[in-house]
Amino acid sequence: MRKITFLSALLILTNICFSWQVKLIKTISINEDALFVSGFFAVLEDGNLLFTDIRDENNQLKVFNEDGKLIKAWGKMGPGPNEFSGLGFLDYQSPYLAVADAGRNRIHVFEKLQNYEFKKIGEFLAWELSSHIKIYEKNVLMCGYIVSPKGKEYVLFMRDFNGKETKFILPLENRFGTRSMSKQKKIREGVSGLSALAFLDVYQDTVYYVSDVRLRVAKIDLKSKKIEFIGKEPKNFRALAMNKKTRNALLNPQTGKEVEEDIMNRHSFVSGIFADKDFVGVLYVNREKKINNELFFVPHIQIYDHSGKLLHGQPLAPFFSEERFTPLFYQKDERYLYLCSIISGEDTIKYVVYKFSIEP
Amino acid sequence: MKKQIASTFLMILIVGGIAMSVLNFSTKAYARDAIYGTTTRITSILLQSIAYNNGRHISGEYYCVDEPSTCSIVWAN
Repeated sequence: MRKITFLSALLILTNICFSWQVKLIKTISINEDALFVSGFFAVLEDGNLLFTDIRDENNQLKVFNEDGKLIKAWGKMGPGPNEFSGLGFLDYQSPYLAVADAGRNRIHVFEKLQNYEFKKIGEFLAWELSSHIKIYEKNVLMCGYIVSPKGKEYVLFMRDFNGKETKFILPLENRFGTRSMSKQKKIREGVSGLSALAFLDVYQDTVYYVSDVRLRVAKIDLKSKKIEFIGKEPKNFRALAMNKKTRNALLNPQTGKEVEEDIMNRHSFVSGIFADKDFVGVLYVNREKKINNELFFVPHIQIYDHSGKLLHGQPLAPFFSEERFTPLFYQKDERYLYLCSIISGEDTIKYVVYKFSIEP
Repeated sequence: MKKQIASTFLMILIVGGIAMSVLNFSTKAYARDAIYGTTTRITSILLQSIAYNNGRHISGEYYCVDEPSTCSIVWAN
């Protein structure tokens, strides 16, 4: 009996000592009125935050310090060579910054100099882009929809900084973690009309890709082109699968709002992914936090090792947001995860960045 | 004198025109490709702004995004 008690205690202690912890370190409230319509951001080496602001005509790029105070802003909207037409998705991997220009359907590539000076080193067309981007060596990995010269459809592709070479990475049939086009089509029938985003991260030569509606991660080796799938939907992940009647009601402007609200309240969505040398983190959200009769999304994190074994899972409260996607930036060297909460006020939108540490 | 100026001016126009056509300097107008996608309801202001700037707005809160299936936006030349 004593032996069993001792072994049980040892087992519990081992679990506590070796379980992963995701701890909130600080929150950074971005100064009110400093951002118009934003959310996508990157973290610079010194911990300052670089946001794109798609609606600001004079300053499309803004740097905030760790207190949320605006310290630099630049980038006019306009037709000129050094102007932009609506910046959105971005990635920063020192010293390179890649920013997607929605109005021009282009990616601008910059190199960071000193004092937040960025020198433009490239620009290329990216008509096919529709979601997140990530820098890999001197290339930009992009989520979207593209057809190769051979007629094959892809949802992940890569272009070099000069835009000269395109590489096709993830075929359409593997989009939801599926292995065949028929399975992909079946899931698509149930999510069409709401699914619009995909998330990715890259560690060394491996890309991790996940859609916003299924918690199945495609793990792609960029050298060997081998594709594997990892990820398991937990019990509290309620995958979306609409029938035809619901979808028709969703796409009807008269009933769409009500149907969408109902879907958001009852289903879960993937909201981000990030990778490091010994793990892959996947975020999904449930609309479960109620404040004054309004419901907000709360993210949950799953941590897997690279073989796909689930190591840890927990909610990331107190973070909450009204968006079902969670703009995030993961600092690989520091093991810091930054998430941006977006809450609409009466006149402005409030942006708060939550900084978490991830410790094995 | 007036005749000389007029003929020089004409010569410049003719030579300039020939040179530009040889070098293929002309004003080019590019028509945007049609956008094919899926009718999708987007309510996030940030994602709406991106899709709108992309030229993917259909009407209200509906946008033509993602893989080609149920919608297309064709730009008039």
